[in-house]
Amino acid sequence: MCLSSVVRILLVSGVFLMSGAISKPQDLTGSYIEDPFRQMEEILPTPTATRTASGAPGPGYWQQRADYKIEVELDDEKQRILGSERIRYQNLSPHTLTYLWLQLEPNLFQPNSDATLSETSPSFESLSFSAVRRLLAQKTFEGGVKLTKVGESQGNELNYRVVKTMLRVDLPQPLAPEQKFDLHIDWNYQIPDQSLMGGRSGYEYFEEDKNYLYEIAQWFPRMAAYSDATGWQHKQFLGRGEFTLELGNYEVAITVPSDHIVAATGVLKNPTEVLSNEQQDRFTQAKTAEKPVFIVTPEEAKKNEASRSKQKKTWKFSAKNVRDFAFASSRKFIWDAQGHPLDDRTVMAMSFYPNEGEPLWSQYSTRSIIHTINVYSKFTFDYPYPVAISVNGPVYGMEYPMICFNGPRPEDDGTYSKRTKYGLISVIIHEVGHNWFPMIVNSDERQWTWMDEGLNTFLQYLAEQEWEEDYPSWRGEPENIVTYMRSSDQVPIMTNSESILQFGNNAYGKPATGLNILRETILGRELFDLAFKEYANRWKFKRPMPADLFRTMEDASGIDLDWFWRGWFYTTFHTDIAIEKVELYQINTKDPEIENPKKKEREEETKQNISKERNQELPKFIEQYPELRDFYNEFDEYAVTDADREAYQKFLKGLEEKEKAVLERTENFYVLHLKNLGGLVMPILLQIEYEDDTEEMIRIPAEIWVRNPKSIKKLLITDKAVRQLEIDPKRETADTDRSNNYYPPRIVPTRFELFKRKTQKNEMQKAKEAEEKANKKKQETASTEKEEKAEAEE
Amino acid sequence: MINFSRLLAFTVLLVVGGFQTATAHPFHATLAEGHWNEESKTLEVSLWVPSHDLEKLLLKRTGIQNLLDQGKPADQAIHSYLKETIQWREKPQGKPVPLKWIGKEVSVEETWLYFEIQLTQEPGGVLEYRLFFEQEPEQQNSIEIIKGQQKTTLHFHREQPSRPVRFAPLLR
Ligand SMILES: [Zn+2]
Repeated sequence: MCLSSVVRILLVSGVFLMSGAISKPQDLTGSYIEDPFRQMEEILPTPTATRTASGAPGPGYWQQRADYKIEVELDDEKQRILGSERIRYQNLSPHTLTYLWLQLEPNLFQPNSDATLSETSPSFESLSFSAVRRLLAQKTFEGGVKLTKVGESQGNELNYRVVKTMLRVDLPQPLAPEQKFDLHIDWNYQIPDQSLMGGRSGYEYFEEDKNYLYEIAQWFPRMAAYSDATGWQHKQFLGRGEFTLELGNYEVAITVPSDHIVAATGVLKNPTEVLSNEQQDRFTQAKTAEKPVFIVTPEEAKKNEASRSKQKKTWKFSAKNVRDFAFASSRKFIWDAQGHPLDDRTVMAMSFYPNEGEPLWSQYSTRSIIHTINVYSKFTFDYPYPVAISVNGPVYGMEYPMICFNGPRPEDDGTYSKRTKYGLISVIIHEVGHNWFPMIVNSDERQWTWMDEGLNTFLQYLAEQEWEEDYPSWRGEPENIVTYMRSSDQVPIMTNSESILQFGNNAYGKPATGLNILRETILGRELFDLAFKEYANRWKFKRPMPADLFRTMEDASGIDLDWFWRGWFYTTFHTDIAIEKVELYQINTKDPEIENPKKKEREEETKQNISKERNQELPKFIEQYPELRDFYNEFDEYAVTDADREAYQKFLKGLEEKEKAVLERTENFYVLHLKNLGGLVMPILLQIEYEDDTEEMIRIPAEIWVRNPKSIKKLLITDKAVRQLEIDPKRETADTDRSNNYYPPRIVPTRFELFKRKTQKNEMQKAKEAEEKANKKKQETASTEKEEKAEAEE
Repeated sequence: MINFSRLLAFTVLLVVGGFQTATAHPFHATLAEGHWNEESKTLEVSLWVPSHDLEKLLLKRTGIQNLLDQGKPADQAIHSYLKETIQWREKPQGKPVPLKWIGKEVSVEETWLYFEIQLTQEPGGVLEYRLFFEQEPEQQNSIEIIKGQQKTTLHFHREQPSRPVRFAPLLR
């Protein structure tokens, strides 16, 4: 609560600043720039018996539970959902409740919803045909839930109030801790045309064969979450911040036209009633198959498109320990499946898609599910559910427990671009991956988008890189976030879901990159993987908050990461470490025989200038009249005298052997002056190249910035001479300005200049150009030499 | 979820028959950097856009599938779109200054566009920047303009399609 109001204030000022010329980095901690290593206690919530200071759930941890029995009919004639549900709500909190809150998310599509009303006006100078269609549809679509009964299971009606996308139900008597309450709700609603209205759910109509494909989600009144950290989570649904729900068991009976194929969260309980014998046989065969097996083949699906059965069938599904339930239904579905062994279980990886998805879907969908299960299980915990399903339909990418909706399809002619192929694999990995975050590690999406999207995008990146070498991942590499980090109109990651500017970079890219930096650069893979796994296992089937992640990662790794959380998650500072200058020191032996010539040499170096150089050849007056010379003409202040030698011997006598040994050392002492220009403290990754062509990498922890977060000096002792230094050569820290990362300084071309250079000349042209340049230089030197000579002669 | 803004996004492409052009991204934003080249009096701009958004736009404007993967025709289509949507006026009521196409780099998820804005004096005036506004209601665009040690970031969205170009001393 407190933090989000801070965010709002900052956001307002952000908007104000954007209209001016200056954008100032935001800092939710208020003190980061002065003291980045200040501990987090003052900004994290105080540990409780529910959530401990170690980041683990405490002995008093509790969460509510909701079990559902639902009967639903999908009306394919009128595109409607008619449902009846019994919810058993268990109050496992230590509090007595007098009312309950439920979510009515289809109300988003009411013409007077907050989402519609708060949408700002389009610019009418450039409004497309489709935009107008959508705006008009929004105004007239009869969306929203119609409640036909809200009562106790015994039949008594209950008082209730619909508050936009939320439903408040008053309890007949207070619900004490450990008590249960059974609710009975009947409802119906019109399914939106997803292609027109958008959203996470809806139908797609296929003009050619006049069939519908339904992806149904957020479709029944669901218990809102009630937790120790937020109380009732009943922030209105505006379309962006997703949801958080209670875990429970579901028994769902879905009635559809008998020629439909249904995919749903959970296990099909009545295959003998809804599948043909052949389909059942194929399913059994798929359990142990080496590759996906068709339960419904493309040809069968094509044929089925012409069917118009008047009969109905009821598909019964059962799902245990899930926080939600979604399904898909169509005549058009091809269905393939492959059993994937996990410990002593078999997880059925399955895909449902129309012929429009072919040939891409049968080749990649089910395999992508299996790959995701393997990689995510390795980094967290074994996939606990019996099925994992990917459905192709109108929704581009959306996750629910055990089932997800993914959009990419090939062209009409069956060809597809590289973008479509990798787009499909990536979206399936991403959406199946959401089973871990937030379906099982049940974070609050409406409050903190990054807690599931950021963590999931990070694991998606790891899974993509294990799919094939150089997989074209979009997010994860530090270098890919540089442009965003450099830009000034950001809000911190710790910003409520609805208030985020630049959703994708803020809630997906930046947190994913942060975890990657922690893994590769700050903690190292071994320590990071250990700690991340600990977090996943501690909060599996529980409800973590940001502090639980921050605390667990430190608790399990043994490394204080407060500075990193504060900088990367609570501020908008960026990494920009610069080499300001480099100084070289050597030990003064005090031996006049060694030091005096050195001094002389240095003195002469400093006295050099162009006139002196040119005057050297001039005949001098006193050379003509040697009698003018006296003592001072001969005196060499650096000549070694006996007195000098005596003094040195005396000095040596006063030293101990150990001290004498130091004097004999010949190392170079380099002092590097480093500046933190971006504000964010980071480890300094220093690549040193020596004059003898050897190289060395020194990784200095971020704690070097403890005493002065803005500028530091680092001593480098080496017996070799340094030729060149570079900070972060492997692009690990998202350093936003590389031009100041070098010693000696280097001019780093901008992206624009690099591109221009690369594209405007071919290699031959470049070679020719280089040759011409060299020739020109030769001529120039020749002519200057000539001029100089001429001048000297004058 | 990958694609929140399909909630408010839409497409006529279904009529055309292509579906895969739906956006792959949970947000619609572009980022750009313009470096002021004092010598040539040009702003050298590198503009980052999600490939899917650009592909969707090109299909809508030209009716050609996968235009982005083609060379010249794509360059021409993008250049003319940039000229329509990015207009820099040195005087508020003046004519927009020329925008010169340099080239593009296309990869699976992201595309970089390069162009020059030819000014007659130091960067100033008003920048209008309507990239993708007709396609995505929630589109956010920003450009950082760097002139020696000074820089300024301008942010554009549908309600704020143009901004004055002003510099203030760099805050460190
Ligand atoms: Zn997602």
